[in-house]
Amino acid sequence: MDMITRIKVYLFTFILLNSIFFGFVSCSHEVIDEKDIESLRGVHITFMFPPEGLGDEGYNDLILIGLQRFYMAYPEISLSISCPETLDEANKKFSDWLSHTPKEGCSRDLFVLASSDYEKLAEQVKTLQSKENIKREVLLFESTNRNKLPLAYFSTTMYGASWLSAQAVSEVGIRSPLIIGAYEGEVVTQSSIKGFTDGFMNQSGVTPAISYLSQDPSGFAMAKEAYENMSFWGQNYNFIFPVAGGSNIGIYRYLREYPRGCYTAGMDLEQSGVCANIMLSIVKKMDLLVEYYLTTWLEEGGFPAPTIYGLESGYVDCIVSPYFKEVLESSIIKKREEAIQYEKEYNKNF
Amino acid sequence: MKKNTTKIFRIAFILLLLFVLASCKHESINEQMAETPGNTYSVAVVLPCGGGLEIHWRQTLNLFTYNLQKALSYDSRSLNLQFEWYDEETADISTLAKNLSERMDIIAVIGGLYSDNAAMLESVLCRTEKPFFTLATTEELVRQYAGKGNLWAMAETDITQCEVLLSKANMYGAKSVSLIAKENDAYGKTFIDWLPFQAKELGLQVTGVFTYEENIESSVREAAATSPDYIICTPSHVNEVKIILESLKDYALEFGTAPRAIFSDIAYGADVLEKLGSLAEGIEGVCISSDPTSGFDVSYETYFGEDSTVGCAHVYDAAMLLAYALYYNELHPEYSLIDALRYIVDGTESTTGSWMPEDMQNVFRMLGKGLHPDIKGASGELDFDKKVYTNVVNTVYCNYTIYQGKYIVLDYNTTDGSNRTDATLAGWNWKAESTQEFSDENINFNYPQLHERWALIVAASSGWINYRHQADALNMYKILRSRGYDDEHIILIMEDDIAYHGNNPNPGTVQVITGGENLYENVLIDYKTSDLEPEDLENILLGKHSEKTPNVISSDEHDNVLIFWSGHGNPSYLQWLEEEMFTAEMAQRLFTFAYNERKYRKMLCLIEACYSGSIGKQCMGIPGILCFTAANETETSKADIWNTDLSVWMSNRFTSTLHECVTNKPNITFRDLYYRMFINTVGSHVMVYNADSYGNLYLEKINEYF
Repeated sequence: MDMITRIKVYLFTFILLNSIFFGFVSCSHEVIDEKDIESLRGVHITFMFPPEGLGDEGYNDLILIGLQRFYMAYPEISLSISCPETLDEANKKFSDWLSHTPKEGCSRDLFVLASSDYEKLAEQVKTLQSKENIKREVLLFESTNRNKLPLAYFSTTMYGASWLSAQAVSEVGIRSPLIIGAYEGEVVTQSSIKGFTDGFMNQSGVTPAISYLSQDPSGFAMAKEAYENMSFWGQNYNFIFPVAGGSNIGIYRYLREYPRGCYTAGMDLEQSGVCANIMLSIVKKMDLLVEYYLTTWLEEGGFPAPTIYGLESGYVDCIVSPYFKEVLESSIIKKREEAIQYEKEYNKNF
Repeated sequence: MKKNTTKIFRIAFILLLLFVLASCKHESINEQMAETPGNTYSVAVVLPCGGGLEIHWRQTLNLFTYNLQKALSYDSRSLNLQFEWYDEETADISTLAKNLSERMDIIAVIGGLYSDNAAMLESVLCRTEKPFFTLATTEELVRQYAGKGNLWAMAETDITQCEVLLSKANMYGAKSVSLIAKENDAYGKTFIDWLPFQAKELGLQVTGVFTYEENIESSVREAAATSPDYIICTPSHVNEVKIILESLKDYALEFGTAPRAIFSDIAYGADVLEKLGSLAEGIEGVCISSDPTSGFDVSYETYFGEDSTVGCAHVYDAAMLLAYALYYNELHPEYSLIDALRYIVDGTESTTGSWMPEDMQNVFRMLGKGLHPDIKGASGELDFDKKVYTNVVNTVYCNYTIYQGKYIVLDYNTTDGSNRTDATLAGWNWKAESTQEFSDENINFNYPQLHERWALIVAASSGWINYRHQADALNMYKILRSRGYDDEHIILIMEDDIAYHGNNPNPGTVQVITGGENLYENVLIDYKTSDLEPEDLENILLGKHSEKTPNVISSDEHDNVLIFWSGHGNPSYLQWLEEEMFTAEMAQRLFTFAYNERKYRKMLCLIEACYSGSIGKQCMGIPGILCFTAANETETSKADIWNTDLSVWMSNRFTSTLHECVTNKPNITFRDLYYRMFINTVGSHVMVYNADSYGNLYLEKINEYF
């Protein structure tokens, strides 16, 4: 530890002891270097979730967790979070940011487009005017930046984890799975769909059926329709692999009410508590990834190199539900390396 | 390494700050506040502190304080809220209420999680100008104090919670339900009053309403013995949750099975997990919640490492509203705090975000610039009913279950089904639409195609002092004309003695709101009230022309008929001018004849009068007639909008709300109309009669008449 860090430790310990024994602590941030604070105050981040994304109890809520952790670590920065209701609203917000003059004292100005839904909208970044002494940047989530736009980006893939899950459920007698997608052509979930399809084919020789809820992104918010359709799907398929975002809750709800004969998978986070029929969950540790990206940007002055994060990275995984550990866990462990290799092959196409 | 260490210190520091703020005595907080420049306002917080709840309230308001200071860091104007804490469970609420109401330094009170305490606090605070933000939202509390101006209920009434509970049962395929609730208790009363009515509307059989005062076990056994698919459990205290669960467990052991239980919001909270332990596992229910799209709960869990508890988001929002109002008040000291609050919740200019520091900062900036921002909070849109400013218009409810010692949200509901939530009745509507084709019950409601629409409008009083009755009648006439009725299809009966009355400073002008449209223009009055006897209504309604009644309603079984009546009433009759009476017997005879002679396809009666329920109920059992009344059989109804210049009431509450709904929500269902009118008609119970013989109020809409 260097001297400054030692001083910080002593100060921190002193305050901690004071707090414990006297139940009082000063509100001033005297443990943090004033210079650092001043420079952090010049950092502005505008973070835009996908339309109606927050509250999904999954991907986006995990992102918010990571974002709040980052904000707790750097409370001096200016952080504005928005969750527009429509793409038009998002478009306007981004356009306004591109053309606005940053507030006085701003030294770094970052706009985060936290969804692949914003891929098209991000093209406006070409019009981004640099301001004197202000570094303005854009980070786009879940993109491979095919258009070579001047922005930072990353993507995640669930191919490997989905491949692994398909292998595992196939081994325990699932014969007729159905994949439920939001809409055909949607990019982000394609890796999951392909991974599950390839994994199941590889193990059983059977191609899983697939059904889409909609023709457009509204398919991510059609829980009611998913619920109603389950009365048919549940009778004809014995496993549902749901990759329809917020619509998945309709599937889980149906299976809570009519639990016989059909199983399913959790998505984005460990969801065994939501429905007893969830055999395993494909998790994306977006909280950790967001925290890592923003911290690196703040501390190192730039983002990590563009990467596709998958099973090997640890940010994506396949977690077996507690009640199914006995039957599925060994298969998941055994096939993990194979899944990583298949995922690498798949990623070569991107 | 250095950077990581620094980061760890920063996180630890924030956690420590929040922890210490949460746990230290309020004297310490006072000291901190005293160091911050700007005006400091004292707010009393009266909430239950046992069972691990205290830490949640403190964390919530410390988070708010932290965010407020951050939001105002740019501003030369600064304000602080200093919270004084009282344990709702141990304090002498009556004495406390008196003390808080008398103390000049306390500017507002937040609290009252339990209904009885909230009622006691409000009964004293209502005599002051101190805003009281409460989480308890029983029907009686809102009804009694909505007009006082100081009550700010941060959620819809428990009538909505009751509806959500039933919707859940319905979604789960229930055919029958029973209710367990505490007797002689404000909280239980809402459910006892409303569940049978709502269940019936939802197509659920009610196997019984089982109340208790002491012996909960026996009520539970009785309820279970009726074999409902679900028991709706609305205990008034967490200790009663435990007894209900144990009783159901015992019943299941004895008989092999027990009905599933759905609990109300009392079974949601940190105290439930602490007090019930493993017994709580599997509890399912509904509860007011934060708005999932606000990210409040997710953030709370991130900050404090544990889930929030019931009401955290609402407490946060109460403090936030207060801060906005105080800020506005500092800019405009000519307003009272209550007026400032009303201004704050009336904003319409779009903002982004809701409760975070940057969001609050935007609101302060806009207020500072003279703009009028639309306020959102952790619990959702902070829109209050514009009539009495008492209840939030939309509340988010979560459907929760306890799994492995933790609450899990299964889904969310609101009355409007917006943003990541289902409408409370979405499930029911889907089911109702599906069963409509197969249900024998609906054969009775197989109405013929609608041809024409007719209306009979009666203002049954006279004189300047009764201005409001004729004004409301004229307003109804105007609305119907604007909705396509011609004069031939409207029979208007009024004394016509106010437009040119000697007290009228604007001769020829009649209005229902100050500065509003002149309703007297282009009006065709068919009869003066004094030219008719109540008996003549029979000829008019049944289409019988006579010398005395040349203008009649010539309707048949293909036509809808609307009757609007505004006047005075007494038990069992409506007054016709000063001396005469339109009695309950006459009403019954009129309805019966109209049905027997096929004089209507559907008939809607809207009666604004004291004791109007005694007339409305005369249509019971007669197919196709639906009656809304401003009051039940035993109570008076209330006037609305006092005009000091004219020295008259310009309208009645029932009718002014009706007009608002008809004007602003032309496609509203009768159920929603009823709900809006119920909430806004303060001082009397809006009643609906004969829904069973009319149709499904959740599907039938007013646009068939308007």
